[in-house]
Amino acid sequence: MVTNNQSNKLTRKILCQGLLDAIDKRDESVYRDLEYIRSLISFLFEDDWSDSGYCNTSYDVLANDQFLLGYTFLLKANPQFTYTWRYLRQKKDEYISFLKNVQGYITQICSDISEIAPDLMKIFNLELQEIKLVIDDTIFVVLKSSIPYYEFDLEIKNLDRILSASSDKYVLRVMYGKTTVGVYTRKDPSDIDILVEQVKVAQKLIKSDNGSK
Amino acid sequence: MDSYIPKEIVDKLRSISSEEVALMLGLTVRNHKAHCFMHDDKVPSLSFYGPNRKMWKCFSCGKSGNAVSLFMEFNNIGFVEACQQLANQYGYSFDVSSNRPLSARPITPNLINISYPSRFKKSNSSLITPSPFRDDIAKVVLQNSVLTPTAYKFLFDERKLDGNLITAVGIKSVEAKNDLIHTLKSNFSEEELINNNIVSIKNGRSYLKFFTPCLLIPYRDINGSLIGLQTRYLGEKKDVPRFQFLFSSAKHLYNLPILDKMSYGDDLYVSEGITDCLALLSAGQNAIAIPSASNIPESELLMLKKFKLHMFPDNDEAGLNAFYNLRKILIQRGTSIRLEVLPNEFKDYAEYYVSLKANSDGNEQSK
Repeated sequence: MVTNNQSNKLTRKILCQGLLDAIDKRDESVYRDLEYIRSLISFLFEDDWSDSGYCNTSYDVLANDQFLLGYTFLLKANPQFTYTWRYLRQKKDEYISFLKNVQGYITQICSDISEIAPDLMKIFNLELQEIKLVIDDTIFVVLKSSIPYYEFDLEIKNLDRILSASSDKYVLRVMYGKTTVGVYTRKDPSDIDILVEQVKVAQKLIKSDNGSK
Repeated sequence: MDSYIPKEIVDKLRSISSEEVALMLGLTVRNHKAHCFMHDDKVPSLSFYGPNRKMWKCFSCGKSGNAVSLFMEFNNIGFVEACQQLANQYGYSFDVSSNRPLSARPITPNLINISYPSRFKKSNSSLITPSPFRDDIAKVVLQNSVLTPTAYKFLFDERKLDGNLITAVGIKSVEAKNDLIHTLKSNFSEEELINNNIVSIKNGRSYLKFFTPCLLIPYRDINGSLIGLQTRYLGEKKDVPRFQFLFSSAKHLYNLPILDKMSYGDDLYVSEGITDCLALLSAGQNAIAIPSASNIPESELLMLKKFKLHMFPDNDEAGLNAFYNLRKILIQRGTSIRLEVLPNEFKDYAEYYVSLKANSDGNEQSK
């Protein structure tokens, strides 16, 4: 149950709480590592990284974190591990870039969905079947006409795809029932208009197909 | 003999949020950062990080540590003194002179006068120098109180709560405040009562420091020892706080003894506030309460990890936010809590329970 009384704008907080609600519906005994996945989602999605001061401080903490440095040394000390300590320290720096990318990714997803959701709902006039947005086959967002405007689900096995996430590199599919009616690979802002046009065409085809039956 | 702080107490204190301690000390924290008090800090350099923001580090002067070391640095005191004072603040009792942790015995801490820089002083000084919980005074208050007609009306007529439950959890009430003041004065010195924030003197007359008529709600630890006392105002005045903690601002979960009777994986409801908790218990559920959304005993939440947690948040935005906040804290401790949704027409579980009870009573009468 995620509410937003002001508008149907999708915020980072709504997305995070919705994904955590979805995880909480899962059976702990069936899914491994559920408590860590919950913690990861809360960490990546919930904190307000839009405040650049907080963001920079967090990155500073991480870059200078002695616990993490000690951990890299411990891993390097394992005889099974054939890479050098330097490699792990570089990976630590890449991790900071990863966090920045994920922040951009989540912000962009929320912004794009908020932008297209009203158009999609208008196109389909919320007919019987649900409209579902699928992001990188990992995050599922069902559009609703009333509060809560969004319902969420998460494909846990595809969560690794967030590792390669960035704000200008993700795939969003629009599904009407079981039919994909539009696919959008984010490259530049104009793509979002192309997606809406794709969906309009598909909706007309579906309607005429239903009419001919 | 050197004072000894039991390891489990030190571990608990080290797991406290440094950010929370900084706020308690009067630092202004924004976005998990504050101005460092250890040097002249132009921009906030003191950062709180890690699970529960339990660690801190100043990126200007390089000092870092946990809640205990923050308290030590701020007050310029040693480790043992810092542990004693923080333990008092958070209601962890122990014997300073032996290796044996004591949960039932009241401690008389050697409180140190802390001088705070003027820029860190807060108007609410009780946060900085809390009075430690005195279970001997609390016991006298409870033993000399009964359930008054006002309390009966509230608990049983209005809230339809279970009488056996109210007896079992030891809820009492106060109406005739002069009788209670007289009893307290015959057991304790006036100075003790004033110092422990139970009685105040004005124009030569004694007054209770809490509003009456009120319920007296005892908080107990998992072994049943008294660790706190809260009041719930039952009068008509609009401008008085509904809930007050006596003695200390220490945070505790309500109804901890129930955990001792439960098994791994049992369902446990967590409510925001006592009245919802009593309604859940009356409905036959296992329940505990956080005193309020802004008063979450974070270190005690670790005790809930082995149970399946549920919550019926209040049916408004604030209630939902309180649920999300609690869930975030629990997730940081490796567990979670499931959202349960009330029917739209009820503002909280207590109201829902009254309706359920009225329906079941009506059905029984019609039979």
